[in-house]
Amino acid sequence: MEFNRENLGGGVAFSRVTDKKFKSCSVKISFITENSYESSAKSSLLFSILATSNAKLPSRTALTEAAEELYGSYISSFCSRLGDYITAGLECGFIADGNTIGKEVISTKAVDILLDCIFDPQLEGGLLSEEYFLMKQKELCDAIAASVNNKRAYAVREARKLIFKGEPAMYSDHGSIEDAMNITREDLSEHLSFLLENAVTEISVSSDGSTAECEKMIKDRFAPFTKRDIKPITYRKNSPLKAEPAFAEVAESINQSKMVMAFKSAYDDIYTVKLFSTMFGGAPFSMLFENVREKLSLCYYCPSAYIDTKGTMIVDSGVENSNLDAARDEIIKQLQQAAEGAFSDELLENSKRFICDSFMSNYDSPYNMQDWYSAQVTRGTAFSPDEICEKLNAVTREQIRDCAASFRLDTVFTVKATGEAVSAQ
Amino acid sequence: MINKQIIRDEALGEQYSLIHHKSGLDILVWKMEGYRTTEAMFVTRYGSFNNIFRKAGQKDFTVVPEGIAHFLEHKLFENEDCTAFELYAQTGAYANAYTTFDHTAYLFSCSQNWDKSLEVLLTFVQEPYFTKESIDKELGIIGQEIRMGLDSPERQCFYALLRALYSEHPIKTDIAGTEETIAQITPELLYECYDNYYDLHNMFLAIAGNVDEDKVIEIADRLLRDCEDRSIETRIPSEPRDVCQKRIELTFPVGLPIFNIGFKAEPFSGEERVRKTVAVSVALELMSGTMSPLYKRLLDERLINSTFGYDIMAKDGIFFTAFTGESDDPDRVCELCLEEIERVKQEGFDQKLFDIVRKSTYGQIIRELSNPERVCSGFMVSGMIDGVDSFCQIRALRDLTAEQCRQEVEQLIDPQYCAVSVVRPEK
Repeated sequence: MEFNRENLGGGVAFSRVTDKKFKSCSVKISFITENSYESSAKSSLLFSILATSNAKLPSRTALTEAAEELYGSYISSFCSRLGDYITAGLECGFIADGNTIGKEVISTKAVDILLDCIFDPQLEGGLLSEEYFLMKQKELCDAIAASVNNKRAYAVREARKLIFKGEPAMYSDHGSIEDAMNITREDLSEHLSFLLENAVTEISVSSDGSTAECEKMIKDRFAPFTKRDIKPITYRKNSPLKAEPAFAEVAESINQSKMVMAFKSAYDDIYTVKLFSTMFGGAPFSMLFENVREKLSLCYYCPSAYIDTKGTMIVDSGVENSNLDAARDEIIKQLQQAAEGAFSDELLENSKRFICDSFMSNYDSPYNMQDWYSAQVTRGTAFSPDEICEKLNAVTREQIRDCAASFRLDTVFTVKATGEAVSAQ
Repeated sequence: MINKQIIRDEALGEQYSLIHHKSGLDILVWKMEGYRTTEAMFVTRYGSFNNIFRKAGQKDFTVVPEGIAHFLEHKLFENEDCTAFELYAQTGAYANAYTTFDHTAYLFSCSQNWDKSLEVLLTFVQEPYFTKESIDKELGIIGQEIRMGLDSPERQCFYALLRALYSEHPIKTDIAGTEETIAQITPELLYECYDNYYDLHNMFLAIAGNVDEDKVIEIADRLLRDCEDRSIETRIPSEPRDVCQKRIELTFPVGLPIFNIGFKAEPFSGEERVRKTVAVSVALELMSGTMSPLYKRLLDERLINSTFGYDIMAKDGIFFTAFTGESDDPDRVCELCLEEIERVKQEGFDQKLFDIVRKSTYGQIIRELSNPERVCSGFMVSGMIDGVDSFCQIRALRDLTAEQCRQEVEQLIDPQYCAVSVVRPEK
């Protein structure tokens, strides 16, 4: 496996992951901007429309047929949070040319469709297609409306508004229905121009090494943008700890309450924190799983996850109403115990094995390796999974204890169950 | 002497080994050169369907509480001294288990120490330890899991469809059972189910990725116990062709109505089940996939969003297809789906579109062959269905014609046997 990264200039960077064993390839073009109240909805809507068609394939059906004919290749949009930033764009997946029947070359055709979607979109009077604008606007509104269906995800999303109050990270990656409905086609044309002129642009290709021609096509199309004056992004901006922990609660007609707790820290080494979070609540033998779920039966689930760009660890749990206080107190107690060093060497070593095993498995997927190195870019590093595992194995129990001691409770947000969720008619 | 078959697909240039182990267990091994990950599954053909059973030669059937297969899966993770998670913690593997309607699988995924993890897997699944105390503790945890499932509108909509389609078959009951049924579970019942269904003749082991076949056999020889072939018989009540009820509606705190439109068909077994599933899957893609006229019409009328899709379920005594999604007007979606079925029956499918879908499906298979997890889970078809190998689906795809797809629509997606479930938002 090889990784290379080139700064093409003007805030455009090109990353390449190559492994001969990959049978499929992925090309991802990301435009990164600071998140704001309206930018997430605009980016989400813009790229979902761009993925439907382009000037040469001017309908959704024509584009889908052209891509599917290339052995099920696909063009899709994405829009997600990256700390205080939004990363949005288009991606394209296809099987490597060597795996097609008769070694048919499909890679350049798939990448050509992708690039045309960005640089030569289907326009009507200079604006994006009205038909697809209305269709995707409705889809976005439907997705925002339906986001309440998954109560666990809903609780975390609502909690983030309180955890990161006043920071760009508080805004969702879809925006609100109101934001989506207020967007016009003119807004989207402006937004596309804004992104092409101002957004940090990350291009990545993950393949078996057979995509040299595609890479040249991509670089040629982005060449005019390499003279821009774009400041690099500092992705890591720790969220400030509240003076006093914030508590909030909403009621929902569900059967199981959801409690989201946020702990913040300015601890510097990301990988020590990731190891600590694994030991604390990120594995089926972790402190939270063993004690809060298994021994005390206080919740059905209570994993911890660390958002390194915000210096924030979130514990989200599914809890019976009668156990809410006890579960919250026990989670805090477990953190105190970790901070006092009350954990075994065996637990620490098991956590190292678990997290390293998980990191190393990324090597087998072109998509996972692409995501791995995208995360490295946000940290200003280019470590391989092997290199990170070497670092993790050198972490001491004192470092873990200090790391645990650096976390403070910031927010407790609860979606409280009011009873029966469903009724038949 | 090892009883082994090499199963190969010349066109794909891929192969795997099927080892009939002396213990009675079938072992499927697919070595993937250059990969670091190992994926393994130890599977028993025992799920929520298997609630009424008898051993060969027995007169009477035993009836056990709904949800017991899932409960057993949870309890098998604990032995007398520790949990399976504690054992896996020493190898670094990610471990999990799940129970479905017709099987229970114990699995691990790792990128180091695969042999040690395989030893853990084979050991704990063969060492049941059930006590009244541990059952009482698990009742609370599974009770929470059941209540969490009740909060999922998609899950409730799906089970409502099953209740609408099937009047007798146990598929209509929740895999996890209810808090009332699991309260009836005792250690004796768990041991009885374990002894009958965790017989190695009723199980298989699948392993793919970074693996050494000789080492797998050495571990299996050392850890698998000889066991009697109990030839357990599960009673599945006979199911009428007609649906149980045409429509079930639920209300729920959802943003948009959720719908499932199901079509009940006669069940199939063996290779025919695989061929029918592949054919109807291509037919559904042609009829309702993103390139189809129906999809375009539903989008044009603003009736669906990106959640729209289709499902197929083919198991013992079961075969149904379903259109699923979210819509402000599920009835209009249903109306248009039924219209399209009638049109396809009359006019058939466009040959060009058929060729595109078949090529696209081929690409999908190639992508899956580079993913150890998908290769391992792909063994489920050959492991669960007698006389079928893992390349059966791609052979069926190669042989498929557009006319066959039309015929499957006529036979398997019949509006006469349609039922609908809808979850509507609370007022």
